[in-house]
Amino acid sequence: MESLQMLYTGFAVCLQPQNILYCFVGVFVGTMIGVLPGIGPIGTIAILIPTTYNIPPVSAIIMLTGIYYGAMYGGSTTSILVNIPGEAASIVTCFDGYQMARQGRAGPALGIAALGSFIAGIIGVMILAFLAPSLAGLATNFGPTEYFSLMILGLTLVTYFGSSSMLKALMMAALGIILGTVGQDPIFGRSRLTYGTESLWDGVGLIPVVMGLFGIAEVFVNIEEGEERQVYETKIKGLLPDREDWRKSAKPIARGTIIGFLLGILPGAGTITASFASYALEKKLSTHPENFGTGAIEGVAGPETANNAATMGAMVPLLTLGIPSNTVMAMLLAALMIHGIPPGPLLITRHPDLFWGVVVSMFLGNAMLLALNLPLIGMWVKLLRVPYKILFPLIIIFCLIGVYSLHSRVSDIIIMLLFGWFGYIMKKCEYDGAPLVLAFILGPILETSLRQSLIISKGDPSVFFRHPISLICLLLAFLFLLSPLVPFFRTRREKIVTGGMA
Amino acid sequence: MIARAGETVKKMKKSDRYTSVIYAAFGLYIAFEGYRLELGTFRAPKPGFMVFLAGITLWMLSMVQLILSFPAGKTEKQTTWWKDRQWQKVVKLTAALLLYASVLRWLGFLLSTILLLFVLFKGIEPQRWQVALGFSLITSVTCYLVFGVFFELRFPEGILETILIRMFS
Repeated sequence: MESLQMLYTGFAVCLQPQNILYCFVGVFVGTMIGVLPGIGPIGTIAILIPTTYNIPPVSAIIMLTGIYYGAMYGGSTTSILVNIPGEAASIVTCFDGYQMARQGRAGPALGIAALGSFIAGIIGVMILAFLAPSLAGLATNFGPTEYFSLMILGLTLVTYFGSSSMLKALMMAALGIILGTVGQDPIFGRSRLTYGTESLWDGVGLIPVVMGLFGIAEVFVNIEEGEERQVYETKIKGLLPDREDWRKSAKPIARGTIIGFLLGILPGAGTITASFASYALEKKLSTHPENFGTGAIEGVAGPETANNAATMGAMVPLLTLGIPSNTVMAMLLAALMIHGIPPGPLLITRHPDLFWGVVVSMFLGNAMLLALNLPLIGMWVKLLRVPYKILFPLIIIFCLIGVYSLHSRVSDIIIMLLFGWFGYIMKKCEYDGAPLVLAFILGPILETSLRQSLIISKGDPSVFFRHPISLICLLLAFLFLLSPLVPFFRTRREKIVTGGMA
Repeated sequence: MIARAGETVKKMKKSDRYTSVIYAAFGLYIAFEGYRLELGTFRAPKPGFMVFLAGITLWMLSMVQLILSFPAGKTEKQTTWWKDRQWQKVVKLTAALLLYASVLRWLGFLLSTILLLFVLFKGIEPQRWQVALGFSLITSVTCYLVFGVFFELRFPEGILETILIRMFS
């Protein structure tokens, strides 16, 4: 009942003209970057964070959140029409979506992707609205011990779900923690690993790191490959799926919503895992699995629903516990902190206008996205035809603007370039950047929680095992870490990570 | 780059070995730095505690990766990083960005950005010079107006900004 009253507050906040405008800007930009390969929501949010300095925090978060779930809608367009996913979460949509386009059924494919995403978005927001306050209430009982163990579990899950090689992901996570220690020690204030460099006294900036790893590195890889996209020349007609399409898609949409939301909550799992898991499940449950890969609409409906539901699920740990479950949430956490709003269990009670405004904005945003992605699909198709040789200089300039405008320091550009090269080499060696960024964000919280726990317990490490929540988290982390050593679980994990495609 | 649907990615064991050695050396160095910062005790951990832990963890994981990267009898297909790749463009782009960083404060945002964009449009993926110049001018001015004026982000001012400000004030 209280949630319903607070939803009313959310509507009052969200329906202010300024917030409607920023919501539209967010979902529009999100769809655009979802359509355009080469830059994703992570880089875009990083670039746009400095532009939000002079706007109210609620509007800023509404816009930045809109970019995230908007990108999921946009990513399906390129998957279906070009067979190149605009977003990693839309990789599986290529398998059947492109085949449907080749059969002259691009319209129903695009339609079911948009409608499935809309349904998942609405249901996901409703679950978030009713689940989050209860979780936040529970989390007010968390102390440093619980937070430490939760971070350990979170980082373990990121490495478990996020990469084909868990060992490499763990190495990147360790590197991220090291990066997070650069700067001032959080308890004693002593300088660490700065080597007398003034620009490192406050630590390595998150935004130069993210833009380097996900923006500049991506440009390096793309210009090196030099491929141009071939847009499939087809007239897009009949955007609304027919009755038979709905009959086939109804259950995949329902299952995709649940799988996506649950996997979205788990750190590291996120939209990519959700879409792969949904595809694998639908193929397994189908009476005609041989149709998958040849234009089965279930292969579009399920994954596209799941990836949008995952974006809603990902908001849960961020808004209730202050723990980002993926790199995009880490960027939103950075945005909240820049605006002076520390995320955590008290966010809902201390800033109800922000929490409920953002939740309600997701209802509004999903409705706007339906309008953007169905009647205006022709506009996005035209955008697809812009050659990459025109796009990449724009991406570079946006990255430079985003990075320089933080502190007006040329050193941030150099850091971005260094991480660009690092990310470029790491992509060639098959190291994933996401564990590094998440560990970089969580590392300082992890360290503070660890040291506080040890100080409080007078140096007794068994404190982590005496608190029930901490014990459960550590046990789960331990099991996930060791599971790849067991062949049965190793096979299961590979199926989840690759969607059964390997 | 997100792989095209259906492409398989081949394992590169040699690169795993090289990266493992580099990471292991780095981890050991960081652990040493952590030790120099003071570890403290469990009862009172000092600034070097986490640095040391993270460094040692990285070292251990790298050593495991190094051991696992040696093949057990099978021959591996060697994939080169640079074959059929236009890596020269990456080097050119890096040089252009370094140059941009060095002249940004001196020439101001507008002029440096116009020059950078012209180099990118003409030098990396060649366009006709009219297209390159046109896009460079339009993009730079639009970015200045949107980010510098509308969003009020602070950019270094040079001669072109001074002219624009005088024109519109």
